[in-house]
Amino acid sequence: MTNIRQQYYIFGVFITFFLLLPSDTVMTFGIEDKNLIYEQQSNIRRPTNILGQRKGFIFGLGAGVGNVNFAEPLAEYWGSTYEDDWPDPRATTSAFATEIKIGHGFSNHFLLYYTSRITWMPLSNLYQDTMIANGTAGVGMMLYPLSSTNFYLIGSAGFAALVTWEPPFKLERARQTGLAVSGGIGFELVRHLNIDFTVNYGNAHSTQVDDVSEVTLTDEIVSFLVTAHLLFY
Amino acid sequence: MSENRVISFTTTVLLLIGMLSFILSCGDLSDEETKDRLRFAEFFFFPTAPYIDKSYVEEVPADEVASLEIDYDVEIEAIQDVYRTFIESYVAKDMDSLSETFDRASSMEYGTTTGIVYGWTNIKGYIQANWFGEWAADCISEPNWKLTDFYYRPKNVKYNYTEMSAKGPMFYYLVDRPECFSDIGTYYFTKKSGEWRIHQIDGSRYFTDPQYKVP
Repeated sequence: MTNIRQQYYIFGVFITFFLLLPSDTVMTFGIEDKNLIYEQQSNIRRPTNILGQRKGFIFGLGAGVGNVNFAEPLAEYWGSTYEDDWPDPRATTSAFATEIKIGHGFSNHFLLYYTSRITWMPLSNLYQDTMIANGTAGVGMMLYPLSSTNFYLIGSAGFAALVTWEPPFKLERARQTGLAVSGGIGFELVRHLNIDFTVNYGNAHSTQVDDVSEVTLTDEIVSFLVTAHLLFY
Repeated sequence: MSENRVISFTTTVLLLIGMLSFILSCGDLSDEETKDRLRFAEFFFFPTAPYIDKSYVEEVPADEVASLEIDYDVEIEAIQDVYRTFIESYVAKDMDSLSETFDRASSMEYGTTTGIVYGWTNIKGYIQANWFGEWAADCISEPNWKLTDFYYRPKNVKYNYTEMSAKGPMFYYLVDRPECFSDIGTYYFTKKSGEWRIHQIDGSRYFTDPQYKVP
């Protein structure tokens, strides 16, 4: 319980940090002065098509679906009771994904945030029916490279863990799997609603993260996800 | 703080509280169920929770380890070869050859008469000082030197590689004068990418758990 409390403290500090970041570069002017400056600037700017003014605190909730392509280490983790050899070099299963984002928009084009992304995989009819959750916590970013469209690039990196999930809430056999990275593209359909496609790479075997030199990135778990996000800013 | 940011932050807090309340408050819960739900909520927000909360990190059952078929003779011969190369390179003061016998990952440890030296850079410096430094001394080995007393641990949750422990003669130096002598040291080997290498000598990872004793 102390560990949970400790993590919530860190979480609180994290949110507070992003909240207290200055929302504007023009801090010394009054609101009327700022409006005047923006009005003058808007006269000389090219027209843009930014749906959201994303600067400032952001919070996102996402859900999606996709495929997870995995190698033998994940199969071993999942089917600990089987004795035969793993039949294929890789296998694929469909999955459901959830994601939380909390961070800060440094401009309308660049958002940096903490991300908690979990891929929930129903693994059945092979060796052993079960559900596995592959979670990653780390730092993510969204970059809108063009002012004229709401297309964006998305990427994240963090540490991952595998757990066996017995719905609705029981988690067992957690395994630290080390580094995971993801990258993809997305589009802001309407204000606050995004959809993106991401590819995620990670390890499935247990990784000794106490020793940084032994943290590696492999393609033992590769997921292809289409995720819809509600992004509050 | 602008109005939008207050609204956004409030929405965030309310959503988080709502999600947590939903997870934790449905139904009449026993202590075990409450613990499961707290763990679930913890994982949902911080998937790296198992790195800190080790209470449900997987364990490899002892019988699973025992059931693996291992050709111990082949593995022992492989580490004897590495040990032989290590001793020969040490006596010949051949650092290139010697370094090939080491797994130089950062948790490397090397025992001396005055304590443990950590990390490959420091260990290399220590060996070179004893070979060529002011207090340098030549070391002599015996042809019949071999490793004994073997322990074998397959890949496991903590370390994703096979490990072996053994004892064997090792070179040490007197503190007060340039003189090399031999004594029994403890060796810890790792097998990574199919190659056995020495990772620690008289280090902290040397293991002698009875279940891993080579029969």
